[in-house]
Amino acid sequence: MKKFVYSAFFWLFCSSFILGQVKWPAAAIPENLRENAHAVMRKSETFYTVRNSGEGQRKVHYIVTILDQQGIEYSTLTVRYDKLSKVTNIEGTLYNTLGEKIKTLKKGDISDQSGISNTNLFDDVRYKVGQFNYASFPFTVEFSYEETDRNMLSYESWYPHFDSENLAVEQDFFKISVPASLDLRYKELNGIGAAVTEENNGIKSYSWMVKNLPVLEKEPYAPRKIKYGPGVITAPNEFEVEGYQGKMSSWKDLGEFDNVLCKNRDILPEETIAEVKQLTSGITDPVQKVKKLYEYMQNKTRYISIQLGIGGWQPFEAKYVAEKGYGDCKALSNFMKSILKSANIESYYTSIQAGDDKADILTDFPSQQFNHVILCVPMKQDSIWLECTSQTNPFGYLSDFTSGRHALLATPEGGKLVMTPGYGEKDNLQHRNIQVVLNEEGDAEAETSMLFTGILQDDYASAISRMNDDEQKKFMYSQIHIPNFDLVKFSIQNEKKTIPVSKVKNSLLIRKCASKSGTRMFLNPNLMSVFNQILPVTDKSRKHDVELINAYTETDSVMFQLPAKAIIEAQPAPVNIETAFGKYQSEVKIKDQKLYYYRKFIRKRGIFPPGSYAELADFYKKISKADRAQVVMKL
Amino acid sequence: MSVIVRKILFLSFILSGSLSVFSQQIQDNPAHPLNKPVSVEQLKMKSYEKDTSADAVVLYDYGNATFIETDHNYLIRYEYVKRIKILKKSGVNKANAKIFLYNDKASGRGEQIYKISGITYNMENGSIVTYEMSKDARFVEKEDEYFEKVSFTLPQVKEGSVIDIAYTIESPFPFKPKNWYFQGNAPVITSEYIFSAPRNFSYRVINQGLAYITTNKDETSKEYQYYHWIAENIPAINPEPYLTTLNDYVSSIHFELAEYWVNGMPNAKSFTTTWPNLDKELLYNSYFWGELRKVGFLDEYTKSIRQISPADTLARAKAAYAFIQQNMNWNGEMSKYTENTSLKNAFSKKQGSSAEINLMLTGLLQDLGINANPVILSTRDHGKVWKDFPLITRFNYVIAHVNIAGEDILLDATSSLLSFGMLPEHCLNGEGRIIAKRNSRWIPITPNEKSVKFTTTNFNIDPSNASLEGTINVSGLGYNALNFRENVSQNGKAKFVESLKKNQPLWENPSIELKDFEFNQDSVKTPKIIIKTKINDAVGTFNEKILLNPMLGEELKSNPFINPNRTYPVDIAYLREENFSGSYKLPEGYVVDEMPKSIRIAMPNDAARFTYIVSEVNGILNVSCRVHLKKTFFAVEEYGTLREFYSQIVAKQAEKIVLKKK
Repeated sequence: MKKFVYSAFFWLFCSSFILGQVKWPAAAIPENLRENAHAVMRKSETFYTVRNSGEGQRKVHYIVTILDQQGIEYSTLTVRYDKLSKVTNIEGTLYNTLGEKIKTLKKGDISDQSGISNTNLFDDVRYKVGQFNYASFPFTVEFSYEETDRNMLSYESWYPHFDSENLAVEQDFFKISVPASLDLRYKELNGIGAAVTEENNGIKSYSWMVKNLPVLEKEPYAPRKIKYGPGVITAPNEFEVEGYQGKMSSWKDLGEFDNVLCKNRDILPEETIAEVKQLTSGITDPVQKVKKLYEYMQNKTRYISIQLGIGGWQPFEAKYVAEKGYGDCKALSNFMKSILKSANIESYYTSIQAGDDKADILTDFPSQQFNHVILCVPMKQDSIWLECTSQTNPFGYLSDFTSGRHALLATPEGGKLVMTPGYGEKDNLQHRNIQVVLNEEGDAEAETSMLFTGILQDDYASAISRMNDDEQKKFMYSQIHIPNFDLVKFSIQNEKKTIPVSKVKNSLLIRKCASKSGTRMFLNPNLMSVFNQILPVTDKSRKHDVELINAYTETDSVMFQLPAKAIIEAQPAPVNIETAFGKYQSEVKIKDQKLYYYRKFIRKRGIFPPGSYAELADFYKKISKADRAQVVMKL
Repeated sequence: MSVIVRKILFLSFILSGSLSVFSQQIQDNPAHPLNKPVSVEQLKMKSYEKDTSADAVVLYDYGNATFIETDHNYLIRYEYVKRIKILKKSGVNKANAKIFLYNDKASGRGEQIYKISGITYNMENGSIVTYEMSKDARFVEKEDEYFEKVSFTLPQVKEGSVIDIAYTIESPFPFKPKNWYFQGNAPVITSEYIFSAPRNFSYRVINQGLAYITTNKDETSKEYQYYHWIAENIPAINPEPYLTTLNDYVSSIHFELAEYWVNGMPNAKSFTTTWPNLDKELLYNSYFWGELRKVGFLDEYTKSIRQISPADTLARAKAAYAFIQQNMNWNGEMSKYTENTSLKNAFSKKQGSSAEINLMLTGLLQDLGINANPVILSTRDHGKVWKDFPLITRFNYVIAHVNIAGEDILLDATSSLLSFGMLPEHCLNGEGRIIAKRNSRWIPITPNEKSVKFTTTNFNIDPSNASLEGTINVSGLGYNALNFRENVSQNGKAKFVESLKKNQPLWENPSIELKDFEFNQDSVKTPKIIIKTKINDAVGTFNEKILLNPMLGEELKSNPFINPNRTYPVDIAYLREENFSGSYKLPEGYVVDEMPKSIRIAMPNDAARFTYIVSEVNGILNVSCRVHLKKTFFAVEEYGTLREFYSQIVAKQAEKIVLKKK
């Protein structure tokens, strides 16, 4: 015991002696943390204290060493705030390579910047930005600040890696304290250790600590849900925002709060109600009624993002949208809901996490995990889903922005979590039908007739709605992967259906469609659908599952009228591959001086075990090879 | 009355008649097109006949700048009115406006905006309905320490709407009047600008792209100088690849203060109106020459450089250049003045702007007794320098010049990967101006290096499993080497190697070695990529014959100039040369059955050359291919030939070789 006290004392003495002079020498960073790292978090502490249901306080203190230019972003302190939060006591210190203090952060080193993104017309987000503008690597910065927060729909989430491939972590600590009467809900993610809990004087605390985390290794096709690495997400049971109170311990409660925010905001001007009556008179089919009114809304409004009101959570009134003809996702969904209501059709304000790269929400953890609002119209058969921010979106189509994931409906009985429809391999199609006339020089004229559906038509649909004719032509050039061609004519047509369809027709003049050498001619019969994805293969064993996000089907049917003199000398053998990830077939047939090429590729979606990565790589490689096989002709 | 007098009277009558138009505000002129109500035709208009692809067309764009004399200052009042027709849904964003107002921190003065108005006109049930923008559609916010941002959006805008947007800005900065742009990303039918300044301010007016101007008046009264422009049928301007900047082509007017005089001043104050004056100005500028002379703090760090014999100027200059390269990191900021911080402070932070780094370099070179001077230039993104107009605002960057043994050498130390005398691509833009105590002058900024790439392959063909085995050596000189090194320094070796593999799906477990990628100023080496690999399916087999793609995936996969039309010239900054040399050992018992014809193609005036030569000697098949661009600027008229040139390269490089059994 005595020995222990002595050594502890000795250690304290030494460290205080060292710390007094030199605090954070870069040389002290363990070698394993330097590997692939551009910055190392030496120590980080985040204390989040829930004072009551309407106010929280955040205290943050961290020291990070910047190893090189690629880690430079970590040398800047960026604190987001808005009118419901206040940032105080920003402090910072700069240390050189040896860990000697060089400078402290002065007022002039802190700037205040607008946070409005290019897509928003206005919001009240701003940033405090502190930086030293130093670049003698490696160096270390220390920052701390405090923030009071009155936007209590969400508490602090903690991810030591910050979603970065560049940052290693020596030590990171997170502690959240709440009044025991409110208590806390939390969920530990991606292998973070269990919380240490304590309770003192009616305050409950939960804390987590990580040490020595090397940089996050990102594997291709890793599941989206592990993107941020280990961490903790927390949420309140009850909360208050600008006088509005709500509960969140169940999805039912959270949906109920949406009802509170939307209450009495659905009043429309008389003229709008009259127009709605007139538009729907004589229509009996409820689906047709909804369609008519959705198109009415699309023609009457445009999307303008203005994020204000109850921490950005409350929609503008329906009347406002009617008068201005614009609104954000909340305002437009609420407006559409009000229109439907005036036609006696019930619909639900629906919160969702939008984005084609977003993992689904954590369904077992009711909390504010959403970034977008759409509308759900319940029907006897399938519900109708309405994206209200687009003026051109087909009725009932969600695209990969909001399809196939959980969404929270605010029904009169409170929140209900449901799945939006997903689009499978039969919904996302790409059919190409191509007729080619090949001459003896290897040049060709081609007529293509293509059909795209579901998410594979999104780019074409958006080309029609967003691009002028010149831009559409440039877009077509970018979509056709033939080395040498001229686009003689093109047309894009779009059918607005629940699974929308784009029809594209091209006339092409192709230079050296087949390449010639002497008396021989070589042709790749797969004119437009050569598969190019090659997966990197390493010696390291795969850690994570493999996630394939979208399913789709490609079919190609190409007919070449060959030159009269051409004699086929060799042709690729049929290929037929079937795997858990999908199916590939290709075949060449010759008849009456015509060459027929058929190809079908079905890609499935799903999550596959880590070991399947090598099989996927092999599958892709085989497709890539088959897609390049040549036909040899003798003239 | 004599004839002359009558003539003068007549003239003055005309003058005063037209002057009254100038001095009039738009609201005082009922005949002005913008004072006419929006017509039913305009609302019914479905497309713009001169550009049927346009999603919106500006029917009329009007600006009027006038001066207001206040107690202690002059203000410029800019009155803007714009009428836009929305033709397609994608055009509705024209109804959102963001206006930035400049605030001068030092003097506390800033621009003010007044009279913002927005009106939407729609055709509803056969009649014209108007909607006025209300105040709650306007938002004001501090963007950063210099700018305030005013955003607003108009109500009820849809396909078919006509919108009027008007606002007035008052600026306390008569020293730099705002530019007027006739041209934008939507076509404009009429654009009108009026600028009238009191005679005690004299401006230099610079027109760029006069093609669309139909009225160009410039008249002087006793007290005022008036300018009046009208341009008509101005097409939209859209970006294209291989361009310096669209700013070089946009039809616009720029104003620069030449001199001014106010009560109490004995003489008019003149601004840089000649190049010698501008040069002198910079020699006295404390953020330019003043700062570069304050590099004494470097003495203690540069003792070893001073050990080098003063007679060996080149060695001294090289050492100084390497020293700044190694000790300073560029923060990405392009500038010509050291406004943010002193050189001493920048050195202590090891970080700085282009001005801080290169003025430090110039100062150090001067201290070492070398004839060195700063060179101001305009980067490619910033646009051309107008040599006819000595304007400091046209420059945004500074580098260093030394003359060693009669040779001009330009230096930029913002990147540690540049060899001595090599400039980064963004600097390669026309001419720069050497600012010197004596003999300031222009100097052409021609790159001293090309971009050269060599790919040399050596393979054995194995017919038993249709594969190749051997090596590929890739190396680069000049800008190609720089690009290789920059890529590795930004992404790391692992990712660079990964990206090489990704482009070559047929390589089977390649071993890739990067050699001499580290950059050392003292002995500049060629970076090399050495690849040992088996390539599956590089050869096909049929009827006991072998089919070989001799370019091994190094061929150009598509024409870089795929778009058939071009509006602006092509500018590729530096000369380019790509060399491929492939060598294949034929398998035992095989001979060449067919191979591509060797060809040479040149563009007119030898602007570019392509050669492709195949030969077989003693069982070794050699393929050599060279693409050489011998100039960097191709006029619009040459675009078709350039496109065709590449088209032929792509076709030739796709050709195959057939081998057969003896």
